[in-house]
Amino acid sequence: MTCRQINSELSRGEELTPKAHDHLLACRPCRELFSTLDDRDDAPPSAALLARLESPLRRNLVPVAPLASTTRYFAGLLVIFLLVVALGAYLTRPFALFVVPPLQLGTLLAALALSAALLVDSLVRQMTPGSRHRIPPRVLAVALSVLLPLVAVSLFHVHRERNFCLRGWACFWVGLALAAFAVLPLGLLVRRGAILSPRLAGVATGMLAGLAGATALQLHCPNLNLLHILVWHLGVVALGAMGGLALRWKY
Amino acid sequence: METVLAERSARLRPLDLNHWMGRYQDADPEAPRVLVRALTPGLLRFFRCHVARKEEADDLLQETWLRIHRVRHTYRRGEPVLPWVYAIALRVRVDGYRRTSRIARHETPVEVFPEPSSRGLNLERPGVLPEFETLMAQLPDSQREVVTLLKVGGLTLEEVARATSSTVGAVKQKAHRAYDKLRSLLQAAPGRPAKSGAK
Repeated sequence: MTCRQINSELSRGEELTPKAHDHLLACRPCRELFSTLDDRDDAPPSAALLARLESPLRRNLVPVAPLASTTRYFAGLLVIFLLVVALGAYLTRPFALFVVPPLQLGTLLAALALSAALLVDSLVRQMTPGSRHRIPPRVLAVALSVLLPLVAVSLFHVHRERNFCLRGWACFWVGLALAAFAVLPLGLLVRRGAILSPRLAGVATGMLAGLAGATALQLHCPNLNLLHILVWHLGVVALGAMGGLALRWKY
Repeated sequence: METVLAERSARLRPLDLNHWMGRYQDADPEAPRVLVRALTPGLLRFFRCHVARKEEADDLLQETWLRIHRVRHTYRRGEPVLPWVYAIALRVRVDGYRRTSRIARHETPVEVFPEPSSRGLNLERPGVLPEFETLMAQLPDSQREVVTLLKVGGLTLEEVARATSSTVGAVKQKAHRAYDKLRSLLQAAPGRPAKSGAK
């Protein structure tokens, strides 16, 4: 057995195996590490301290309803997302379906939908402290900020476009209005939990709302210019994330 | 009664913690008492490894219990209790650190006699192994967090990953790096003879 394997044994926190025991007898650094980690000054808390901790809890004790199941929250957040996308597509008309090549449109929409599903999953897990995360929330936010533009870059090309800003603003404001519309119900659901990091929860909520706006825009806008999609469509997601960071849902 | 309760708290298995958390949410007056007695020793040791002063650890402990009380609805029945509790404790520690740093920024230092540090490696007792807390203080924050949760809180790798919103692989890696660093610190402690037997 090697010192590295002893590290694994220490992390497992179970009884040492005979092999690990033999290694400790032979290896002084491991023996010292083991005894230092094992021999701690574990003075128990005083009775006075325990009483001081207990009394406010007992004084303000009322029954509370635990959070609903993760499936319900997942479904709730996803339904809000889909409703906003459907409303946006209905109000602005889904012209892109008839103009943008199906492969490009389908791939981008799939990427947006997958991002939304991942964010919803992350938000539901953030609502309960100590949940198992498939992807750490911070990593997810950064990864989506990088991957979504990369998907757009791989699908579309830069074209010369007249009135880039003027046409872009129109898209941007529609997307932003839809994101603002989505953020309220999303936030009201999320703020019941998500007590650990209001900033991260805010970023994820804002991003999800921005994604709803961007998805609706992608269904509506037939513009194939990469710069237009990056700046005026995916810009809604970026601004949503920043808005969420500023709001940081309080529990 | 006190002794019986203390013994019962000490014997609590994870399943019992789940059960008592459920009763806590149902406002059973016995539940806070049992949970405080079962979880406080670990939490107190955890905070003492992370802050320099005992009083500060006690304050953080109190703040943790108040926060646990306020957000007890976020516990989902059947989920493991320890990662839920320690995730809140970690947040309280971070908030406490920020608060202390904010206050320290507005304080004016005055000339005082330096107090003997309990945080550096013991240079006056060659040949004696440094204490656990002393060694922990030498580790980077993220590694110290993982080692204290594993060795002080008694959490499993999976539970630490849950408490820190991380993955088991990342936790394992941090723990391994921390153990390697602790070994080298122990070797570097004054009065230690040359390293032997390590592979």
